[in-house]
Amino acid sequence: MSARHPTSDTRPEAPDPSDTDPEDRQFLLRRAAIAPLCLCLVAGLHAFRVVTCGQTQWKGGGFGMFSTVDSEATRFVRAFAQTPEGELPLDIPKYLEKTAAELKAAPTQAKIDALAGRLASIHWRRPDERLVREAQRWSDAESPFAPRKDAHALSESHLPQPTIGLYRSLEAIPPDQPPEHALGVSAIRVECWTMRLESGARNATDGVPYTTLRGEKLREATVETPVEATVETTAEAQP
Amino acid sequence: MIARKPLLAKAMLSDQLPWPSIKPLRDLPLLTIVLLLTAAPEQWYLRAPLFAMFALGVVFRSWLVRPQFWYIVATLLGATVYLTWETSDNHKYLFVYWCLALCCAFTLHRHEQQEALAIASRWLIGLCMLLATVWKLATPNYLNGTFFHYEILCDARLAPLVSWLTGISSDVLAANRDLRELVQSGYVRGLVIDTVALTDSPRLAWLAQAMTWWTITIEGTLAVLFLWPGKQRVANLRNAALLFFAATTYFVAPVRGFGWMLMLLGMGQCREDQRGWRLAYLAALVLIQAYTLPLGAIVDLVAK
Repeated sequence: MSARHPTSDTRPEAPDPSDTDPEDRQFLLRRAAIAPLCLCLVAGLHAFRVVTCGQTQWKGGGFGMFSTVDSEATRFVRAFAQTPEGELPLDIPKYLEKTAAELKAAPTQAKIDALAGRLASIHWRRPDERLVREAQRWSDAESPFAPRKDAHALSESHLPQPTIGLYRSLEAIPPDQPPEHALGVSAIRVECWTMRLESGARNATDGVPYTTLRGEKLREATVETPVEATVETTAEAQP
Repeated sequence: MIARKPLLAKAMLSDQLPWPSIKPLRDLPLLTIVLLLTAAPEQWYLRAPLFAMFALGVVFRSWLVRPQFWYIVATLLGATVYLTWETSDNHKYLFVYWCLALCCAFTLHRHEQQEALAIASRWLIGLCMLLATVWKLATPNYLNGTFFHYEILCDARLAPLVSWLTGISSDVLAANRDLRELVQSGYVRGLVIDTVALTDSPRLAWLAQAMTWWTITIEGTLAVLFLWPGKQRVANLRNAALLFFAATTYFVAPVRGFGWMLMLLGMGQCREDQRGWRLAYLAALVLIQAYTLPLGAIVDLVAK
């Protein structure tokens, strides 16, 4: 920003503030108004987006915090993969968390379609099966990771302990890893939800009041996966 | 005869030690740096240049009264908000406007700087409170008390106070939060649940209504007082109301970043002769920091 006057420590003090001429006064007020004007512009844009994009009142610089239950914290995203075994939940990978957060803050159809598209381009696998494979690799006598015989007690305690069936959701195979053991996925479905609080009910048996927290679907998108992601590939199957 | 150092009170009375005073143009930039250091952006590419700027500003103190310095800081903070708008709280926006206000003030004559900063600070507080009030009045699930009812049942920040006021154990409130989490992320564990029943109490509805209307009243009052053009009569009311707001609101919901920002804006809008109010804002700033301590745990520890 250009300074109309030389900076404060290089010029003399003005004799008396009351002697300020009207032009200088106008200049002072214009400079003082810049920051509040920016606030008004951003707040106007925020209000527009709340109305048109369903953006939460909490985020976006409109100062609508603490005014509604429908914040980005109560909104949530669910993603499912359609596989030959049925519909399985997806654990959205960390590198797509920002995209998911943007969807929660302003759940437009374009954003949910985009997230579904990105999830559809990923290869998915079962985390419990991966843990079993890692455990097998550890215990394989031929493996360089295998424990020495004299360190048997120590190595057993360090083996991963997978619990088959605990993990219901699929995990993304990192982009830098080959898509080994990827599940065949035909389509991805993404849902964006919010929550509503409904109060006033009482328990029929003991009369204890309770309040219901109810999920309410805002948006949904389904995207079919590209052909190469639908075929199950395994390390053994590859030449 | 042995010469002794005078006692502190005696020294102050005899004017050897000056009473503490805050000079806005000297102290506000430094306090802003402290605030921004405690609420720095997480992105390394914004954090690193900001910290470098602050280090240089603390060493070369004259930089802190240069518009260029605050223009760069405002740009970096603005970039942070732009790149992370989906998670940026509203006080992060206020940081940007405040740095912009400092930048604009330091482009003026020295005798005009404090007035420009005071005008900008007053308008920023007034607009922030006006928008907060308007959003609340425009939202049906705020006006019927649903919002605070939800906060009381599920917000961990309010849990100690709610537990103390209503007698609902903190374990029950924690269970409510677990149920909410189940709806939100239970699906990854194969639990697709759309509705849960939270434990409630009739007292909570009253508490929620009281908090609803108290918040609208205090924020609406602040909006009117800070946007009212009067100078002399309203000034003391403004300061008293803002300090009262800080002392009560941040006790319930200790949002330090917002609280500190409001206190800096409060200091900034004080007139030249309002030295006592500026000290009161500094005291409130310390109080807001004290509210962030785990007071419940400390009381329990002392009681044992």
